[in-house]
Amino acid sequence: MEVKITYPARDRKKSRALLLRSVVKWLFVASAYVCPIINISAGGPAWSIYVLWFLLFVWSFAFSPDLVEYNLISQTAKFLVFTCVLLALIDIIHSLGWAMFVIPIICFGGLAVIAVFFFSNINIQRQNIMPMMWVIIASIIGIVVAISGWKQMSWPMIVLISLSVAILLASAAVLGKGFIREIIKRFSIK
Amino acid sequence: MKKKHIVVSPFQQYRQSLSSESNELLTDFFASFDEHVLLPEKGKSEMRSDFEKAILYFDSLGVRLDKSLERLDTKNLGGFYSRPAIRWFPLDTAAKIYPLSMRRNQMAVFRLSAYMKETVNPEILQIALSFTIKRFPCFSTTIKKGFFWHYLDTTKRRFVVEKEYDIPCRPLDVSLSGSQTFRLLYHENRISVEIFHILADGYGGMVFLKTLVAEYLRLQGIDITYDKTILPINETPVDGEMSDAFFFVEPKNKASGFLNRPSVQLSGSLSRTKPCRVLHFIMDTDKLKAVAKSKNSTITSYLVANMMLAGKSATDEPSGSMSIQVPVDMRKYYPSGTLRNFSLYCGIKLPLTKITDCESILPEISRQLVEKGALGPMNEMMNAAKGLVRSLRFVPLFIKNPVARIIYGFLGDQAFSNTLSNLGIVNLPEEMASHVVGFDFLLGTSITNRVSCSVVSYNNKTTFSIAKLTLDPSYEETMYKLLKSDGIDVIVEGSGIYGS
Repeated sequence: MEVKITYPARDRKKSRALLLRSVVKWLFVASAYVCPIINISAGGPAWSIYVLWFLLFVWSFAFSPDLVEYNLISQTAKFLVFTCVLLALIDIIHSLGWAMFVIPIICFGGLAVIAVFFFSNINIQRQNIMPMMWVIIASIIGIVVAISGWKQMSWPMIVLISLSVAILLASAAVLGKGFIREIIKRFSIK
Repeated sequence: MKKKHIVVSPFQQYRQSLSSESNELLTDFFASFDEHVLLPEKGKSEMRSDFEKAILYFDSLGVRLDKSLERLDTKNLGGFYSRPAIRWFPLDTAAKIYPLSMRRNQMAVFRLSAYMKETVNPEILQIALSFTIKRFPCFSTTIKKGFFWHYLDTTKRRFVVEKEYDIPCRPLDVSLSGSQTFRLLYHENRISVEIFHILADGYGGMVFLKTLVAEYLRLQGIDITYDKTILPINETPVDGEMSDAFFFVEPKNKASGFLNRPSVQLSGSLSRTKPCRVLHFIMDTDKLKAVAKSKNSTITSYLVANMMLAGKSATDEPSGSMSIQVPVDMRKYYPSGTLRNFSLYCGIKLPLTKITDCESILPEISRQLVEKGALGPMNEMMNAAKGLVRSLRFVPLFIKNPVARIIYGFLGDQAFSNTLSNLGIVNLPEEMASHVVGFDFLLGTSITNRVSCSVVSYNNKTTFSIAKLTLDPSYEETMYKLLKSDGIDVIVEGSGIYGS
């Protein structure tokens, strides 16, 4: 069977990138397997939990970025969530007690950065509003839960909730009908 | 003191060589362009440059400026590039699974190609795409994540034509805001469109390709006759073309048809590159039809029978059943103008022990094709699909996504050994047919099926295409031998082996 070649040859760089990714994947899997074993054998606090989370963090950003909605706002929001969970895990595992103060600071810093990305190029970024909304909603829920659990309010929490509400209102005011439209399509069940 | 070099572009040089009257024509033309294109600066200047290149191309052919500006009339851009992106489209019932099951190296992409008589001119093809895209609102979209489902969000940008340099049907990068969900490629005399299945099925894709080729030819100065598969680009898109046709069909009977037992898979090891090879068997349609008729069957039954035999020769499994998935276009039962997905499938299944020779299996294959592809079973499957979508509508995407990926990986793909999608006959009006020498249709590879096959016929040539996921050549060699043994002349074209 003679085949007349009618397709161009492939770009070799791409196949090398694929190979690298699969090698790195196995390194990550091996590390994820070894860490808990070392942790259990050595005893002490369960540090392998936040190491595993950190591995997932690095893998997700460096080697397996999102297949859909990979943009500045979504990636900053994702980074923020991963960081906050990592800090919370370290705080809980080592009983340090600073998470309730530090996490809101990280959150309002991140939220401010996201707001700058959003409002500085609103015509393009209006389609990426949702990750920002998730951070706002998560921040508000987080603070409500924290207050009901700990019954104490720190200044970072006040700043975070004020900033969240301010960004929410500003987005609704600037986008007008577009804001409603965005919410409708994001929550459509069709 | 350094001298400042002023770089004069070829278009500026061209303008300098023109009379003041012609320059005035160009000034008016680009003033109209500015009115029609309100994209961000980068996209706008790239688009302007596309028009400049097209004008230069026409000039090189000796086309008068007024004639070339007539062909490139910016009215063909409509209001598409001057209005904000507002429209959005929920995914149709059949498309909902595709973004849920996609992976970095696996995506439901199919490809349609038209072979022109002459080498493709990329500048004109780019303009043809810029003019055509507005007629297909679902194609000018990007995929987004909702809380419950993915959806298509309109994107206003300069949709690009690319030179083909990589493997066919490779996954599209749909991650960035405004990413294209299809790819338009050219290579020598071939124009190919690779479409993420969320946009359309083979029928919708073919309408898009034919309309694009028609526009490409119109720009070359050929008068085009439009019909329902070659759409006038300046006509307002009809709502029915963008609708989910599954929803207009009333449920009539029970729901079934999704759960199937795993089938025998071909034995070669899975390649890292997907597909690792693409092959086209080009045959004379009349001869193929005559051979099929001599065996009391249709072309589809005859090809399925040969695929069964070729599949058996390419597996080391001692027992089990071989099952070939055959998509069924629902438009033949429910006339619909939709350009989105409106097809289902049936599975033609035979135990390995019964796959002996073509003559003995053909009656059973023909019977199964008629019975399983009939309206009743298709209605049942459609009800099952609609029921599944309905029952999952309130489940958040972050739960559906991993579950669907696992189920699709473990169950969906393994239910079949192989696929045969037959697009049927492509017809073109005479004025187009004299400029298009062929068509082919290629399915992207799945997760475990080692081969995916597709067929399209045009101008008495039937092209049977194979996208491979294994380096083992047994399948295509047997298929070739079987066709040759029935006296069918086969010309084989395709790619080299990728990733070797």
